[in-house]
Amino acid sequence: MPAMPAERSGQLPSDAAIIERSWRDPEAFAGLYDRHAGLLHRYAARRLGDGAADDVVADTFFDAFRRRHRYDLSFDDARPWLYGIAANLIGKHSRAEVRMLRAYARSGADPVLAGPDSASQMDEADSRVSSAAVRRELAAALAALPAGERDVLLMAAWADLSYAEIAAALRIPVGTVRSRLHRARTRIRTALGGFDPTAEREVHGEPVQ
Amino acid sequence: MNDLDLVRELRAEVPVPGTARLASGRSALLEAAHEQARFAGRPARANRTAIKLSATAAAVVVVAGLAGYGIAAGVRRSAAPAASRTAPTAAPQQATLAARILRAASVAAERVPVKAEPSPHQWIYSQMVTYEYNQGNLPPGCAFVRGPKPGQTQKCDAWTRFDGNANAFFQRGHLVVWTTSPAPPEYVVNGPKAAYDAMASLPKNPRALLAAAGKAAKAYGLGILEGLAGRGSSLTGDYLAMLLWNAAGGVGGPPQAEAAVFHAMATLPRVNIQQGITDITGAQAIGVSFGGFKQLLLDPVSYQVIGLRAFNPGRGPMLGWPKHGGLIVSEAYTQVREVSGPGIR
Repeated sequence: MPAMPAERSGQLPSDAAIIERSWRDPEAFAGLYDRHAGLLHRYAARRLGDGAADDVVADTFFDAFRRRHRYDLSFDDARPWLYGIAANLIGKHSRAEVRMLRAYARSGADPVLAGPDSASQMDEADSRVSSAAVRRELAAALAALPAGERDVLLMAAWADLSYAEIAAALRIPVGTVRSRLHRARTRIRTALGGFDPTAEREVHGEPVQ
Repeated sequence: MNDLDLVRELRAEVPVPGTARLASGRSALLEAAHEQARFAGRPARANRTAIKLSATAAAVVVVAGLAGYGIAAGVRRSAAPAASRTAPTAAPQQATLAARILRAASVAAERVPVKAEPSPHQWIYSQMVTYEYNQGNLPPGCAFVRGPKPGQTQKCDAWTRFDGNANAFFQRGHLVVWTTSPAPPEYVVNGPKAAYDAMASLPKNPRALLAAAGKAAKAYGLGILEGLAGRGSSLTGDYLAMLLWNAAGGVGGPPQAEAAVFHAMATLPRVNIQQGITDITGAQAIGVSFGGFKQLLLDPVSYQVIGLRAFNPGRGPMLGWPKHGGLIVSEAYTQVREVSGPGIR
């Protein structure tokens, strides 16, 4: 049996400890929300925009709350679990996601960033990415990816999950994560005109480089 | 910059939202959690076998039984056992019946021998049968048993320390003991001691007791669900029922305090009594509710608290609940006793 996570004095409780506590004290689950909702919202907002992200985050935590008794306490970090639930919910908006990426590719205006600050945000972004054209091509490439590959790629790039964490989130073998990511990156590079691939170092359990 | 870096930079300007943006999601989550805390804050319950039916209490049962045998119009019946589907009792009769039943419960509680409050580190073993609508999760220490719907009725063995700050259960054959940091004192579902102490602190005078309980109900946060509970519900009554239920998970309340609570409940304006019903284990019970959706179940002979049921009072299915009037939760203890340590039955 794996060692059980515990609340130790002077240390923040692990996600697993918060979840276990919520079995008896349901309100304790709010601690998990406080810890992860912000970054999960940002991840969902990057994929679907702020409005849909509000719903995805609320539904993710509500669903997680209802399923908390099934959480495997041997996993201290609940992010893979939460992102896995979110991935299912985001998947329901898959058409909208692709539509927005295509619109961005066509017009150069990103619907996800639509808002009073979008122009300045895009100018700022342009200084980081080589050109707006590349961003549009990238958006088109992301729109063309199969959903499973897009999930893996964006979990690696936007949620900073490791191979193992992505595998846990999507309930697929680590090898499948590697192969999906490889295929997705190849497609992206091809779409960008044969971008020179950078050598990868893949370390099991470590963030994707 | 490689292709992955390019992806990383795409939409990187999307900010992490502030607390204001996240507040509504957090509130919805807390509301759901709060709702479960009301029903699922289920510490173990103490050995009540010492409670014997007195001749007086038995006589009151008979009188109460003659006074009326029915169900208040306000009590949801759609998911109640067939035995409870009796004609509504008129309001004046209900009031009389409720007063008699609750005063009998008060008398019975008063006759329980006074014992010293257990040590905060006293362990209590409990076995509970529980049904929750549409809930197929199986917490550690629980096993599915036959019930109203397959796969939703569970029997759970658990150990709770009297102070509520340690719990134990068997998971995959191993005893797991958890200790947690203390909860705030107003959090009366944290453990049997919290409910015991909260009950002990209430005044004995019924009017003063109800005023103090009403204030505590608001401090606890029952007001969040005021709209949900429906018009005519009594948060004070629900709060007292919650105290009794959670104290029953330990050694009950101090007998005099518990008697005072029952006595005060009898003076609440919207008490409904439902007789001839059974709890989730099939045991005979008397249901006591306060115009809302929670129903405390009393043993019809000893008047000790044996279970709790809740029905959807709402305007339709919500939060994964059943239709209006449907059974959400039904819980009953089958065994409760003080033991010398976790894992010991």
